[in-house]
Amino acid sequence: MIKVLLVDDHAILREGLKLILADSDDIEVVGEASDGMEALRLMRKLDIHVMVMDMTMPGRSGLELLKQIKSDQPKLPVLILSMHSEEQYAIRAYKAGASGYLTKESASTLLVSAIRKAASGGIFISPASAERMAMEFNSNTSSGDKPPHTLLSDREFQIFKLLADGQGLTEIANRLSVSVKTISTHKTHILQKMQLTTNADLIRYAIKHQLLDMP
Amino acid sequence: MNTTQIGKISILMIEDDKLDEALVISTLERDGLSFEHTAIQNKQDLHTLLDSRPWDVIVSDYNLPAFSAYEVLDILEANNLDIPCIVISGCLNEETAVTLLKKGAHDFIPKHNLVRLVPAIRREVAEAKNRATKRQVEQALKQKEKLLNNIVGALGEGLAVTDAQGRILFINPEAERLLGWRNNEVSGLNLHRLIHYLKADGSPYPEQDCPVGNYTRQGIPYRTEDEIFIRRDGSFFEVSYVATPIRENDQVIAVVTAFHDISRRKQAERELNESRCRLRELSSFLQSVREEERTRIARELHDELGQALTALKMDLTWLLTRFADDQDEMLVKTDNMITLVDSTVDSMRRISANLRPGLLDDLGLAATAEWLLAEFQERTGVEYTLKISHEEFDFDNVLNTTIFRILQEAVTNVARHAKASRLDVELEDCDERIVLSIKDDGIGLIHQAASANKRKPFGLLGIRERVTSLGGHIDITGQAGQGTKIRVMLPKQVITEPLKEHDKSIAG
Repeated sequence: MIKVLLVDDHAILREGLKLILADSDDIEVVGEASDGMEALRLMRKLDIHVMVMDMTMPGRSGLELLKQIKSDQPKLPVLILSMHSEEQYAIRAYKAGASGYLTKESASTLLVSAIRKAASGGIFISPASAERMAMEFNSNTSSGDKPPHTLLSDREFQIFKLLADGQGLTEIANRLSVSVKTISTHKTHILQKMQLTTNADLIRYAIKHQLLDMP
Repeated sequence: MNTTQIGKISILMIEDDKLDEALVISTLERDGLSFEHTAIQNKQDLHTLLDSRPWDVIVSDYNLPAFSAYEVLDILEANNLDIPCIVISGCLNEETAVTLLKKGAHDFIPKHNLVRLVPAIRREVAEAKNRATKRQVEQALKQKEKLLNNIVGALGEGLAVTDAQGRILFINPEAERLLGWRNNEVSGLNLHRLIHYLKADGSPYPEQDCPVGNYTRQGIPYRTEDEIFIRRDGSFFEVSYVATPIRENDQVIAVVTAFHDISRRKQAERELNESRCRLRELSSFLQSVREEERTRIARELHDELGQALTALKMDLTWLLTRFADDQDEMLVKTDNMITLVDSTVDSMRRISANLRPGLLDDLGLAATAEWLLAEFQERTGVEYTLKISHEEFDFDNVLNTTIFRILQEAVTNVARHAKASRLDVELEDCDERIVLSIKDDGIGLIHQAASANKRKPFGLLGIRERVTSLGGHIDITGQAGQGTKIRVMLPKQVITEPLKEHDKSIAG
């Protein structure tokens, strides 16, 4: 069981995160903190495996807090969760010792695998940011050499292309003669496998890797 | 002697004795005088003839029954006529001669010895001519002087003429009006010690420090607009003056100082500067208010709205997996809602970053510059380099904001008008100041200015204004075809009175 400490000043967000993690059997939220002081206190008191922390919080800046945590407990993996999508934040977070950097809206799809990766001592970098940070960090990232879409099953790849083409769930379901729910589940898996966050990400990825069937 | 030039001499002869008249005429003829004459015997005729034409000489008998030579002289004097009068008399009396000469007679010749008569006439006519010429010249001079005086008097500029030692020779009416002194009160006084003994700041102005003497001694005019003259009552006015030396034979013999009161102009300049100053303050205040406001709104958008949207998405995503197989409609709706939330978050991010990138406050200038340029490259395809002298580049909020906004404006300019393919940015942290250089290989500012829309000069103006208000310096060069180069230097310590230097340069 991976024991997690959630640090975020927005209670509503912590609730959302807990909801996401509740579906995973191997992850347990053992504590919550709404500011840096409390985070440090709980970190020392509780036996935790991964800390999931907001980047911008009142009081001490997230980066400062991260540096302090890493000097207190260098081995504790810390995942940074942030509203900021600019890779400048990510780069500085990794430099300060973060085991991963995720935007909050990607939490639904990426948080679980990020926590698992961090708990196993690895560094989690989503393919999108890996590409952007290629200058700073080289190939030893989770993305590996294979492009993520090669991880998809044939069925998933088929659905991926239809989604990238801008087709709705119902359309795809009708076309493939399966239920909408099936397509929706496939979509969730596709996003998770490819470590993408939104439909827009998915379309951008397809364009970038020239995976769209030209009419 | 130029007696040959004397043509026919006109002689008015006063003689009652026909014999005497003949004697005189024969003498004149004998001695070769070319002349014409008219003889009269009484006062009435004298008046008539004097009025009728000019005469070269009067030859008068001393004693006539009707009137005497004295009366002739009186009439000449009364009529202000400079006609030589030679008196001839039968009785030689030294006392009489002296009296006549005193009275204005030009010569006195005894009737029995007329040998001296013609030489006397020639001499006196010549001298009278000389006197007449001299009178004409004097009159012309007087007229000229009068004209000059009128000009000097009518001049709207104060004039003070001094000798080489600085003593006042003359001041004109305008100078009298400006200084409160009368010309006759100040002549001979030292000009500097009278009206120039204080500097503009009110401190004493010793005469040896006054540049007027030094300049004018070398024959060079001295002009200034930064001094004051003190009036008779002790009040002063700001003055603009030119002190010009007057030289004769390589010697300065006088100095003419022409001046006028520029207090009003100076006052207007000061007011203009003050108002410029206030405008700048206002602009910089508005700037900072706007920046604060933007920061606040951007942060609230990003943190509050963003977090709420994100939480909403988490819940929707959770909901997505909870529908039963027959709840397709709700599932599709929920999926669409997630897409909508995603694009809303995207818009929110864009709006927030446009207002003010949170990066600037969270991570500092270096990170923000990296981000700005990466965005720029993604949007325009223009390659860039960013050279930063320190890895973490961070200053106080005002400097950070200024540098970022300058960079942003410059980058926007390049994207819009420069047609560049390359952009080099360098941020250097020197000891006392920060140097930002932005260089592109586009068409150059001059071409841009021609093709750009109306907004552009305002952008540049804004940059200049920001830099000036922080006591910095900006250079923009943009030769056509050679790209544009912007170089900004900003002091790290914001100078408290940055306007002084600037204003000086305006005044100078």
